[in-house]
Amino acid sequence: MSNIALEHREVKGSPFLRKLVRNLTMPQRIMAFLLIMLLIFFVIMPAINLVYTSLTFSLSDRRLPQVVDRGIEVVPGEFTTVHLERVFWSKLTNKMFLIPLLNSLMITFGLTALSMIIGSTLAWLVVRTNLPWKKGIANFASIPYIIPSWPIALAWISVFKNTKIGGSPGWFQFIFHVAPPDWISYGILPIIICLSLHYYAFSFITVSGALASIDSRLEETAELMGASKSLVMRKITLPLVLPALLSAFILTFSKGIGTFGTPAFLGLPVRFFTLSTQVYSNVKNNLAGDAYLLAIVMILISSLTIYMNVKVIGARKSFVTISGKGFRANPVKLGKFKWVIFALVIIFILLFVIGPLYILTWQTFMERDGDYSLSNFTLHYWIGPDGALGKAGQLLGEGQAGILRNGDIWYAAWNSVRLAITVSLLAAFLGILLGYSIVRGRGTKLASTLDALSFAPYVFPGIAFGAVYLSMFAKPFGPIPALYGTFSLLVLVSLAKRMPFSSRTGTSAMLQVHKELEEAGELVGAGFFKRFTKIIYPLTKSGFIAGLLLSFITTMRELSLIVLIVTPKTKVLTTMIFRYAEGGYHQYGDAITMFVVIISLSGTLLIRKYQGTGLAKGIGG
Amino acid sequence: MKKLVFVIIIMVVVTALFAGGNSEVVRTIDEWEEWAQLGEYRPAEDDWDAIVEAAKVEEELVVYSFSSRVFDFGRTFYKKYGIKVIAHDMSTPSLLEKLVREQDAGIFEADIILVDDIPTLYNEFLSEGRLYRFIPTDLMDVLIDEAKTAPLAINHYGSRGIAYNSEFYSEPPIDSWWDLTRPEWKGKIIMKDPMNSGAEFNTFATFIQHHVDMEEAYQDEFGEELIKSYDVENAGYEFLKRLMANDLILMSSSTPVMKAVAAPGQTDPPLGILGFSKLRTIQEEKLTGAFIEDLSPVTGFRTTTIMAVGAFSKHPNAAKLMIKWLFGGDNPTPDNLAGYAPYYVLGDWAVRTDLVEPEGQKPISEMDFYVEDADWLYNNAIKVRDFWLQNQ
Repeated sequence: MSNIALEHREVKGSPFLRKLVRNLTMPQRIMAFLLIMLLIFFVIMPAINLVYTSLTFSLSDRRLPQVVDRGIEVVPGEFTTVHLERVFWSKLTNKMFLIPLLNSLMITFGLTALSMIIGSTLAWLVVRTNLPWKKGIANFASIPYIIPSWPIALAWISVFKNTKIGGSPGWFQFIFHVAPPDWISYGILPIIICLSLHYYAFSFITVSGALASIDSRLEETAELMGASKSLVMRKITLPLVLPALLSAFILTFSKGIGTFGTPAFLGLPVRFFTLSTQVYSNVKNNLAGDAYLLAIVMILISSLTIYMNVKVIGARKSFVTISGKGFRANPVKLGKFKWVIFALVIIFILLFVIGPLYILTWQTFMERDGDYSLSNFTLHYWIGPDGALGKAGQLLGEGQAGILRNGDIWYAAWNSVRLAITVSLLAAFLGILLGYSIVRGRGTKLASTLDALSFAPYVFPGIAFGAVYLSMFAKPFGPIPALYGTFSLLVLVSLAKRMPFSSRTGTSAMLQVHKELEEAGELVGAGFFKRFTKIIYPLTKSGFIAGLLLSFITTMRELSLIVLIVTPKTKVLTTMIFRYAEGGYHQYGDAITMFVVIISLSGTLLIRKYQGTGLAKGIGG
Repeated sequence: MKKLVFVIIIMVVVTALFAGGNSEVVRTIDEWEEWAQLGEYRPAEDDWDAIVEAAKVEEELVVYSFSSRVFDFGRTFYKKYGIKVIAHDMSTPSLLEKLVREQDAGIFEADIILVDDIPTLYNEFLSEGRLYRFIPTDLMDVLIDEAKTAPLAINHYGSRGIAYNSEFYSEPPIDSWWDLTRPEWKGKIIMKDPMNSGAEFNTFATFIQHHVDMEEAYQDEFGEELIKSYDVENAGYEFLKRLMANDLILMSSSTPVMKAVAAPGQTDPPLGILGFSKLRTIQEEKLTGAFIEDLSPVTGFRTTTIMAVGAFSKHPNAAKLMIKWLFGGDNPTPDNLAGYAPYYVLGDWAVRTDLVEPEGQKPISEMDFYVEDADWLYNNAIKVRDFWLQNQ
């Protein structure tokens, strides 16, 4: 159906009705309408359900002291303020809400600041200076983006655990014969450092992109006119990269506040808890009402921060920096510091990018923790058979086979891969539909509503979004049967969470296809489907594939989002790693981590092959 | 080639989306009980030839277990019967939470569960028909009385107590639980996070239940009356509060706890609160640790590990066979223990009368343990948990 066909159709009735019918039957309008319904169903309704559940009784609430002491009769589904009271106005408030809130904020602001500093500095060095071997550095600096964030924490524990907590000494103590103090081994400092070492990649990639588009003549002109280096930085460079910094900030902040694995591993021994670990613990201990309220708090913080940033920075003027001709990017000369800085960057990469992977790999070859001698070497955790015995005649890992010979691991790997493939395909497809509806419908209310709605999952921190889906789909809802324990639920939650990124990739791809091209198709009588497959898709294919592979990687490494809704049957590699690490079977956990890294790296190499541009396009998640 | 890849990808997506939907005929619980020969339809005598035959037809068995030893007995079960065991190892709270949500969503994956939190099992799972009791009729004669009459099949008793590093300390360094609240042990007590465990949590809750003993033990230890904090109800809560204030260190599981306590060559080893059965890791990991028996008011706490068949199990015969396997089969000897082998260790106690204790182990009747009171623990669990949270 096309506009032209419509013009010839007789539409009776008032001009208003005619207009309405015409508007509603344009493909982008129909699509936009359907997409909005979809988004309301899979994002807005679950959020409402979350609020509803936290304000009503569930059967397990009958054991709450607040209920027992007052002799309240618990009727499941009936309104109650008992959860509000427990979380916000009781003896528990301090430990369940306020302190974790403070901890979450400290971690999130700390890691956002640190990762932005690291990321932007690296980006500036790689894009704007005459640093040697820039391409190689850029490649290595992007690696943390493709690996899960919490294995860095596992590596941190192996290096810095002290005998007091770890029993056997860590690498640091083994080499230097000094036990590191507790505050280095566990708690807020290592949590911020470990998370920053993963999340700096966001800032690195977005700021690199922005810096690359600045014509260096802007800065040179200012310098010629007598501006000092710092003035140039403040008045020219910084404002130009500000939008990129803003988006890096939002990305890092909303991911950071919902992150679960790292605080769980590094916080527990010193009883350092965050909102995310409290949500997890409350759900596990049958106190979903309390957990959901904490999840709502996380969503509110995330929304507020993003809103304020958009307000403050978004109000500024935007600049057109690409002048059309004679673009130049003269590198800043680092002079005598060139090699010093180069050495520092290399050390950073060796210690913090290669280091954790090296340590994790090494650990998989150690039969017993903490014994660094060659006699302790084993291949068991990779390829050992069922029921293998160690050197002291003990059963290794309760008789479990090495990961490559373990059917359970292959089952989880298959789940991970099919989840990642399904989500990336559907996300890319949805992205194109969203992009088409938003770009073609520009200026209409429908399109801007859709644009705003597709951004909504952004403000749901990972574990909170998981809680939202747990609350919504544990029981039948509308036409949808209970999805808990099905693979479809994992697909849905991952897909919905990726919506903002899909929509952005789709929109930017669609902006490249001018409307005229499509209209040309219309003129020769091509229907919508034909126009889509023959014109739009071929032109946006490269963006489509880049987005696809990025979704693949981010879904492969996700933990916070799915940790609450994965069941034994739908387990994936990341939840297996979590379980092994939690149970103290480091070698298995480390080996599976390396397995995930290898799969993700292969995915990235595929991006390279198809795309040549690397990770910068459609970054997110 | 490209087309082929495309077709494969589409197939993956389609199977991924639609796999997992339940296509089986919906049965009522009564029909299932009749089919599975459980509940009301349980025959007076189990016909093991028929069960073994039916189990082999079922081909597989899904086990949810709180004990990582599931991989061991799963492997030996497969060797013996050729029935594939799909083992899922989870923490107790995770296991119970997943089971409830799955069953509520109409998913009946778990054929058999092995877990240790009897307060919740008896009061929430058994009473709501989520689990079924199965104790082989032919084993009844060799079970101890408590196991014969228990609401669900007991696999073994475990324990929680205090371990120390026997290389560093030639004799136990403490003689009372109250010693743990002394300043010299500040930051030197380590245990599994009770919020992530059934037994650790129930241990503390039981100290609260026996607060009178705790108050007396305090007086014996310090020679003065216990002065409780203003917000504390009894000596049990006061103990917990002081213990936590003494910089208690928490870990995600008890394996690293045992290693932290008993790794050799330490200069300032901590004490650990954990299961006696972790003694089994001593030989494996070349550790030097021991448990303290002479403690006031008691040595520790007895835990109960339960085996039960999940409602609507798709492999009920394999589940029955596994329960018998886990009991140790017909005539277990220390060399031939069937599925009980991984639990025939120091610190775990079998519930049968025809099996001698592992060498060096006293019978459980001679151990000075508190025994879990399922109803009291169930009714007070959240109150104790809230108290823990307030002080953590």
